[in-house]
Amino acid sequence: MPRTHRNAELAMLLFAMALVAVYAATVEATVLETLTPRFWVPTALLTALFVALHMVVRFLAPYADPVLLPAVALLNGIGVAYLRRVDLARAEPDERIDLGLFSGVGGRQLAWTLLSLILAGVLLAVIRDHRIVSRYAYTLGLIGIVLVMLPAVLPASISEVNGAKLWIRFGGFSIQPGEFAKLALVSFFAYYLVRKREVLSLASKRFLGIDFPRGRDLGPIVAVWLFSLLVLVFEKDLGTALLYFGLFIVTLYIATERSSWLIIGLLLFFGGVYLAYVLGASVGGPFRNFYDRAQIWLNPFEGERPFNESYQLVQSLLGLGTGGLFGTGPGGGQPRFIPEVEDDFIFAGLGEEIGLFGLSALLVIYFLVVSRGLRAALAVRDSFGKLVAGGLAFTMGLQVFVIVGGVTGLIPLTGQTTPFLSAGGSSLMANWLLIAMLLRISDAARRPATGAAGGPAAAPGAKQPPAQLHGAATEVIR
Amino acid sequence: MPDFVLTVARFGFLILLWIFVFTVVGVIRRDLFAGTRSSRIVAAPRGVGGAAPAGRPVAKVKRGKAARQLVVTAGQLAGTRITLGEAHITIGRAEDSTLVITDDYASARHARLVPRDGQWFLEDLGSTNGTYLDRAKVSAPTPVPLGVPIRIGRTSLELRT
Amino acid sequence: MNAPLRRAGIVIMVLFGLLFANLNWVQAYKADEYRTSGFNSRVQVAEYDRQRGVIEAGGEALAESVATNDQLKYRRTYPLKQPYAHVIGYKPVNLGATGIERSENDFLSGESDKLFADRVKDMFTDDDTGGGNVLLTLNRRAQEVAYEQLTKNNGGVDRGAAIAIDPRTGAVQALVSMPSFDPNPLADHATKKAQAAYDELLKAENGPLKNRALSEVLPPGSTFKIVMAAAALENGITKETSIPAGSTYTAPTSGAPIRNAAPSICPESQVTLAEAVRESCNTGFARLGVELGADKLKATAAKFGFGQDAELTVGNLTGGGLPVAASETGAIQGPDGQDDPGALAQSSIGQREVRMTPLQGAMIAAAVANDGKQMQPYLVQRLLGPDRRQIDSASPKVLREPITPQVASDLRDMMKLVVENGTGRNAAINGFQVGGKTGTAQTGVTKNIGWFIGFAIDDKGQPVSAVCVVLEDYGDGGSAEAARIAGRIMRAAAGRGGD
Repeated sequence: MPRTHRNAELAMLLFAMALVAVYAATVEATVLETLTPRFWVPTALLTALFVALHMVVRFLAPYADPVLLPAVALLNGIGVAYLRRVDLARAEPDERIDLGLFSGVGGRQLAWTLLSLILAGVLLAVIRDHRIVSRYAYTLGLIGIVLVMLPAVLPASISEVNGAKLWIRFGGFSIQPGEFAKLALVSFFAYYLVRKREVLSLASKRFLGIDFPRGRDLGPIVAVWLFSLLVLVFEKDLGTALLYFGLFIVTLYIATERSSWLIIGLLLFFGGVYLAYVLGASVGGPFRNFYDRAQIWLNPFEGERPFNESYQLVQSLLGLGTGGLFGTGPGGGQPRFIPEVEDDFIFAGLGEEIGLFGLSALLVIYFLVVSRGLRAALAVRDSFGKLVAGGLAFTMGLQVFVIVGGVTGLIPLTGQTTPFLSAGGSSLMANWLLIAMLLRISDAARRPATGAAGGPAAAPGAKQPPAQLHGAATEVIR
Repeated sequence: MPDFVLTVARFGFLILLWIFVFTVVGVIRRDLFAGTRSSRIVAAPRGVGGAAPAGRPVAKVKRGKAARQLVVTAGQLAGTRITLGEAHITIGRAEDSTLVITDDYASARHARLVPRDGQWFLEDLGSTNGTYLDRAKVSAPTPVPLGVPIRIGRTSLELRT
Repeated sequence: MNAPLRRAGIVIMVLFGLLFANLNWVQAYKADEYRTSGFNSRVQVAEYDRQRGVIEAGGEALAESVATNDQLKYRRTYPLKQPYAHVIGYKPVNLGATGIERSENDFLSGESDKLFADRVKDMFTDDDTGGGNVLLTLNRRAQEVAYEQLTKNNGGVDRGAAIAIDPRTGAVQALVSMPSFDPNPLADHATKKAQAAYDELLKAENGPLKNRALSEVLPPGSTFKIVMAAAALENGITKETSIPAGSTYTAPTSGAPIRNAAPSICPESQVTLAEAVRESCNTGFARLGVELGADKLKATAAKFGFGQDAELTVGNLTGGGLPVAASETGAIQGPDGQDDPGALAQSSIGQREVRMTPLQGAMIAAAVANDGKQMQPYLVQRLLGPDRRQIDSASPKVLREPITPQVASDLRDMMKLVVENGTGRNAAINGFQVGGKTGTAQTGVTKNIGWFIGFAIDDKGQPVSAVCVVLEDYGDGGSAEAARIAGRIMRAAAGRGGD
C-alpha cells in the first residue's frame, strides 16, 4: 500500500500557517509597535480553512500530491497577511487597532479565500474523476468564450478598470471572468486534442522538413483561440493574450508531440511582437501602446519617464532594490510608494519587506507547485488528464513568469495577477479551482488502481465516466 | 517593541521560510526515491476485480524470485516503473491501459501481462505490429523471465525484482 | 505525451531561472543604486523618521526639526530665516541640501559613525533618539550686525558679502551673503511648493542662492596691495623705503596709463611704502609690481592662498563644509602669451585677471593680524550627541604661514595707518587698534566694487577679528561704506555691541 503522505501534508500546512503567523506578528510589531491581542485571528481562521480543505482531500482525494496544498496555502496566507499589512499602512493611526477581521483589502481577501476553499472542496466532491469534465468539454469551450467575451461586449462603465476591459462590476463587487475562462478553455482544448490526437499526429503534411497537421483538424481550436485573442485585443490586455497563446501552443505541443507547433508558435509570437514594436514606432495608432510599453521596459529611468509613464515600474524596482538581500522586514517597507501594490505589484511590495532571500523562496514554492502539477500530468494514465494537468500547471508557471518578470523589469510589464498573492476574488477562486483540479488529477495519478477505476466511482450517486469518452474504462478480456 | 526583537523576527521569518522550502523538497524527494511509492505507477488494471482477490495474495509463491516491478527501459516512457500486484497489466495506446504507451507503432490494445502462479505471462492482444519477447514474436501467452526485454514498437520493458 | 511534458517542465525551469537571475540583478547588484535613487521617496521618509539634530550658535537654534502630523514625521525649520541662510543652507525633501545642512548631514541625521553607540542603544531600548547637534562658531551679534548693516548699506546696493573670522583660530564669526533668502519654503513637505520656491529663487535677478562670501570671485582692487606690500617687504624693501610713484604711470609696453584715484594721491615721484599703502597709491604699486616681476608677485599671492584653495571647504576642520571658489592672480601675460609689464602693472593693483573671494580677503587680513599664521577657517565648533554630550570639538589648524612675523608686524603698522589716517577711517573702533585696506575695483561692466579688508586688535594686543566686506556695483564711496560696515562687524565680534 503506497503511503498517501497526508500526515506530511498536514504538518507542512501547519508549518506554513506558523510562518504566516510570524509574518503577521512581525508586521504588527513593526507598524503598530505593539502586538494587538487579536493578531493571530486571521491566521487562525486561515489555518482552520486550510485544515478543513485538507480533511476534504484526505477523504475525497487521499492519494493527491501532498505538496500542492501546503505550498499554495503558504502563498495564499502570505498574501492575506501582506494585504492586511497594506491596510495597516493606509489606516489612520487611531483606527488601526480596530481593523476588523473582514475589513480592508486584507479582510476581503480573507473572505475570498474562505469562498475559494469552499469552491475547491466542492469541486473535489463533485468531480470524483477528472475525466467526467471531458463530457462537458464543448459546453466548457462555449462558456470559456462567453466569459472572455463578456467584458468586451459590456459597456466600459461596467467593465473597464485602469484602461483594461476585463471586468464585470456590479455593486461593490467586480469579477474578472477571464480568470475562469482559463480553466474552461484548458478543458476544452484538452478534450478536443485528445479526440483528434491520432489524426493530428498521423495525418500531417510535410513542409520544409517539418510535419504540419492538417489545418481542418485544428479548425475549431484555432477558431476558439483566435476568437479569444481578438476579444482580448478589444479588452486591451496583453498579458492575458500572451497567457492564452502560451496555453494554446503548449497543449497542442503536448498532444501532438510535434515541435513544429512550438517553432511556429514562437516564431509567430516573436515576429508579432517585433512587428508591433516597429509599427508602433513608425505608424503608431493601435500599436502605439505596445511600443510605449516596450520603451518603458527598455529605459525606465530615462528623462521624465519615472514621473509619468514608467512611474509604476520605477517605483517597483526601487521597492525591490530597497529590500535588497534580506528586505526591510515584515512591516518595515513602504508599500504606499508602490502603485497597485495589492494587485499587480504585490511581488514588489513583498520584495521590499522580505528581500531577495524571501522572494527566491516564494519563487521556489511557485516552481514546486508548477512542477508538482507537471509531475501529476506525467504520472496520470489518461491523455485528457495529462493535457489538463499539464496545461493548467504550465499556464500557472507562465503567469507567474509574466507578472513577476514584468514587475522586476525582465520583460515588458503586462497586467496580470500574481496567483494566490494578489488581492482579488476572481483570481483567487479560479486559481484554487485550478489547484483542486490538479489535486484531483494527481490523486488519480498516484492512486493504486486496484479495485475502483480512477476514483471512487463506485460511490453511490457519483457520476460514471461517460461511455463515449475516448479510451473509457472498457477492457477487452479474451 | 525593541529593535533587536524585530531583527530576530525578520531574519527568523526568512530562515523559517527556507526551512519550509527544504521541508517541501524533502517530502518530494522521499516521494521520489523511497522504495516503491507514489510517483511510480502502482499497477493493477481496473474492472478486473475477479482476477484480483481483494484479500491476501493467493499464495506466497516464490517471493524470492518473483518479479515485483515492470520497468520501461526504452521509449518515451523510459524510466517509468510499475509495481506489480496481482492484477493484469495492459499495455497499449488506449487511455485505460495500465501502461499507456504513446508509440506510433503500438496499437490501442497491444499486449498484456498476466500473472499465473507467480509467473508473468505475456500475451499479444492482436496488435498490428506485434509484440516481441527479446527477439521472438509472441503469438501465444509466453512466460516472461526476469530481465528479458519485451518490445512493443519503440518501447522496451522488462520485469525486475 | 510525457516527453513534451518534461520539456514543458524544463521550459518552466528556465523561465524561473531567468526570474531568479533578474531578481539578483535588481535586488543585489543594483540594490544600492535603487535604494539611494533620487526617485526613491523612501530615502526621505526614513530620514524624516528620526528627529534631525539642531544647528545652533550662541545658544540659539538656527535650524531645528519640529514634529508634524504628516507622512514625514519632522519638518525642518529655520527660525532666524535670512541672516543665516547661506551658512546653514537648507534641507529640502526633494532637492539637494546645501550649507552645513549638507556637509554635516550624516551627523545631523544620526547616520554618522560618531553616533554609532546611540544607534546600538536604540536597538535595545525602544527609543529612536534624534540626530546629533552642531554648534557653529558664528557670533550671533556679529552675524546679525553684518546682515543688517550689509542689507541697509548707505548706497542701497543689493549685492555684497561680509565675512569675519577670528585670526587666532580661523573660526568664522560672521558670514553673510546679500541678497539672502528664507530657507523655510524650500523645506516645505509639499514638494511642489518647495520646488516652486526653489525655481523662483533660482530665477531671481541677483542670485540669492549664491554664497558670495565663499564662492564668488571679484577683482580685489587695492586690497591686493597688501599682498604686494608683503612681496616688497620680503624682497628687501622696508615700510620706510621710498618707492617711485607719480600721478600717472605707463608700463613699458602698454599704452594705457595707470592713474591714482584722485590727483591728491601720491603725485610726488617718491613715497614710502607705508605712505603708498595708507594713500592707496596706484602708480607706486604698479611700478613696484613691474620692478619685482610677475613671478615674485605670484609667489607671494600663492603663499596667501591665491590659486591654492580650490579644494578648501569651510565647515568642519576634520573634513566637509561649504565649498570655496579659488582666488586667482591670472596668468599676468599680454595678449600674445608673453610676460607683459602692462598686465603686471594692472595686476599689481588688483585688476586685470586677479580675482579674490571675500573669504580670501579676510584670510589675508587674518594672517597679518596673527603674526603671519593663516589659520584654516571653519564653522563647526562642536558636535554634540542627541543627549548633548560632546562628541567632537574643533582644534584649530594652521593652514599656511604666508609671511614672517616681522613682515606681518610691518603690514599691521601700515594697515593701522590706513584706518587711523587713510582711506579706511570709517572702520575705526574705540578701544581697538584697527588696521585695514580699502579697495575699489573696476569691472568695466557694472559700477565699481567697494572692498574693505581689516582686523581689530584689542587692548591686550590680541587680534580679535579679521574681516572682509564687499559691496558690488556701488560706485563711488563703496570702499568707505565697506570700511564702515567692517568696523561695525568687528566691534560686534569683539563683543562691544552692534551699534
